[in-house]
Amino acid sequence: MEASDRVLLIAVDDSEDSQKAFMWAVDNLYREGDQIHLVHVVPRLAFAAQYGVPPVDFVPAAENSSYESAVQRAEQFIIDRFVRALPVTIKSPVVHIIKSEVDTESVGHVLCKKADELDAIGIVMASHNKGRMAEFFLGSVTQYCTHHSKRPIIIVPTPK
Amino acid sequence: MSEGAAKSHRNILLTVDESPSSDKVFEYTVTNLYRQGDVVHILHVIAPSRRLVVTPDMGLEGVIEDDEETKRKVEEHAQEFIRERFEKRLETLRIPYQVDIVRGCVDNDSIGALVCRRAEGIDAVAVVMAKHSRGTIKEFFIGSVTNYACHHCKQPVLVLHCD
Repeated sequence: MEASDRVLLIAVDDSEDSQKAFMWAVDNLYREGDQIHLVHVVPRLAFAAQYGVPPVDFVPAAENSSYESAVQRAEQFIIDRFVRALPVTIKSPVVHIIKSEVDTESVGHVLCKKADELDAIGIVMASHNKGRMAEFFLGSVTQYCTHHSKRPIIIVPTPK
Repeated sequence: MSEGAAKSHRNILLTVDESPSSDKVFEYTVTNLYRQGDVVHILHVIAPSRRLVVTPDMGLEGVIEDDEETKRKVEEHAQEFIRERFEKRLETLRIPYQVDIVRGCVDNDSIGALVCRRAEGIDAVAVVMAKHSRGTIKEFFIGSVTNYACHHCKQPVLVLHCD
């Protein structure tokens, strides 16, 4: 039987819901030979919020170190929540930690672009990116991707 | 899959209609999601009647009931296209399946709820649907069903973009 060689893109963040989406993909979509890509997007505004620097285009002093910390934190949660949870039989995932360059470029847009670039058979994500809130049926990233993605989106629900 | 690997027993729910996008829903399922042993559930919702009364903003105000003869013809037509486009292929592929043709409710929120209930009832591993672009009145309603399912379904929803 010929091995599969599809690309599975899983959008990840530091949440249990995201972990659930990942496990769904591993249990239900993955086939031997597939390559899993974990994608985490760090939007530029995240630095501003966390480090108290204004969200301008270029702050030479703050820029590098704050970005480095954000990447390190992302690497750590990706290892803890996702890479460690992967069965040993499955090929190591390719990890993408992407800084979205432009303020207005949404996380969803970056995910859709990456999926096209990788020729993914689908983008797997949790229904909510910041935990379930009463007034939102879907998280903003999932909402964006469902409307704009040309590729299949798999929405793994966040239980109430 | 190696010899002696445990057989899959999942239920996959597909929502289909007469549009070409349902072929994409079907193809994606059998190519990318299906595992030996899974059961494919085809769900088709028939419009509540052939004559729909719509409000100026394209909301559904009500229906004018079809007579028995028309109802029967519509159901037969549904059975036929499902047989031709899906059942035959499922049989060729030796995929166990089940077909549900349901007469729809007045508003598409209820159709969406119907889909979600069915998904929960069979504990579907995923509900595979197409995201229609707006076109005819019928497509408008069906598109909203996908939207409802994305928001409310307790099972994973797989949305295919089919323009």
